[in-house]
Amino acid sequence: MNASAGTPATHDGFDVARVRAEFPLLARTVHDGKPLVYLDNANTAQKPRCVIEAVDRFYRERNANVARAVHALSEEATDLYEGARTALARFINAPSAQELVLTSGTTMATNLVAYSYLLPRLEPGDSVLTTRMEHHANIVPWQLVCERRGARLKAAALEANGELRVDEFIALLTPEVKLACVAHVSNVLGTVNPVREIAAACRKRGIPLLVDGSQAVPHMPVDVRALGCDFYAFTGHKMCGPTGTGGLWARRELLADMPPFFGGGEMIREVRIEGSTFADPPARFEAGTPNIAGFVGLAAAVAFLESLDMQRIAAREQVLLDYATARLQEVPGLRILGSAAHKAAVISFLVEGAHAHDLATLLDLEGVAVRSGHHCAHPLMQFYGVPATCRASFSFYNTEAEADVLVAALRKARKLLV
Amino acid sequence: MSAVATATLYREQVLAHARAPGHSTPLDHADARATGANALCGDHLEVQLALTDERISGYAFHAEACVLVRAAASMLGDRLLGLDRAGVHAMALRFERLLQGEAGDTDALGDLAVFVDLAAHPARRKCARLPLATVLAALAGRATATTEEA
Repeated sequence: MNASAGTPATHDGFDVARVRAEFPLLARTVHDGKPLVYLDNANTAQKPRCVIEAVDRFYRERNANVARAVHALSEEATDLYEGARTALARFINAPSAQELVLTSGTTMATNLVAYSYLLPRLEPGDSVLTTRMEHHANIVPWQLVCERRGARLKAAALEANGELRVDEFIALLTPEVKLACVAHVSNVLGTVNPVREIAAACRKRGIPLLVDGSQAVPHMPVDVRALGCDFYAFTGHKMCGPTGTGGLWARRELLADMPPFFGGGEMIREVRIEGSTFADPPARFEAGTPNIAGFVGLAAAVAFLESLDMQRIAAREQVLLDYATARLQEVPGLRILGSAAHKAAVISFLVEGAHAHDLATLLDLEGVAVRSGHHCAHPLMQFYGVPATCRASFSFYNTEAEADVLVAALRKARKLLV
Repeated sequence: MSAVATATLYREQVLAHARAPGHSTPLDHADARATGANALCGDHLEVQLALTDERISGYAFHAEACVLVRAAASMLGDRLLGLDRAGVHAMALRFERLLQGEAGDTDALGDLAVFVDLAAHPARRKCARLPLATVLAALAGRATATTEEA
């Protein structure tokens, strides 16, 4: 069966079939010739041809190290790498490309803030504020740094529907809080947090706010200036780019005041055995040879997403979310975790009497790729009192027909297990 | 991976053990006990053993876990009685070879031999391993076991 069969060719100008044709991997089959139904986009997204070709072309025609040699290839590679920085900065509406540190992903970005920004400022009795819905990348770095300093990590609670208790978060913004952290979009529940409101409250109290944008940047227009946050971390591989790419946007004055985290080449001004001086941001935080080809690919991904228009992508994914939610609710015993009013196309669910891993294995047999487990969000699983969930996460290239395949596969699995 | 092996992972024999597991009535008296937990999966298993002259004379388990853990725990109970620690170790080694897809003597494994299907499913092997690992922990006087690092 063609997964796009039965799907209207366009949705508000969004030609799903044409978009799918740009992703070579979506045409493959799994077990016994079953068409792949890829619903693990919150884990990582598939790559369009232009990204794959950009990486390939870089290695074939332009491979050289950046910012070191004066030869032509190195200058071309440097231009491409810095061009990616400019494209990414524009994509999130950063005031300047020089405020964007290129990292291996969100985890490196949050760790950079933990060790370079937070650690030197944290004192015994201080705290860091996060929420119960965070990915471990927005919990563990803060814990590690807090432990070193005798500081405390505290977390705002959620409503049963998966919305953040914003009033509680704001009430917890007490004077000893040195950094507040929140996901823009929850990777498990899909909840879109009211970052502007949170950022305004933080600003009023002089507390910097870090936003984990991993699940937002691929799915909606992001404007860091409008959000009003101080740090914004994101990852490239979830936005159709190569793995090992991502970024940390931070206000210029914050970056300027942060010491280096990794030391090595590229990030220095002058090195003497007695001591070194360091480059200005963002180079200060980019020691060693970066993932140049990866960022060339990520720049291609940004161009691809811009050509589709992030507003249209968000609208298309809302249609998919509504459709898939309604269809899933037809499955007996199925419970969806998270029903926030403002929600991205991520659906975590449980089926009574069936373990999430058994469901995921049986869905896989039908060609449907979902994630099962705790989704790197143990505190959230503890909040709901469940050990694991199944998560179907959609992208703009998914179809209603694929949601139908998911539902049919779930019914079949349920017959076997329940 | 082989489509055939994948399709047979949830064969009726496995499902039957998981639906109505044997050895699920708690023992009146346990000489050893341990908890098996795979936190990443969310699998939780409690094992009780009765021992007579250092040989297993009673076994019971309670699992909140996937089909594979429940079925393996049930099937395991049919093979444990009369074994001492060395015997359980030998069984664990045999079972490990089976999970790796190596041909060998599977008669001693009884119904557990069905997990040869996991040779094609490395990500789920830890599920089938958990009950034996928990029994070995109980015999060694350890309170907990996990197979997630495996």
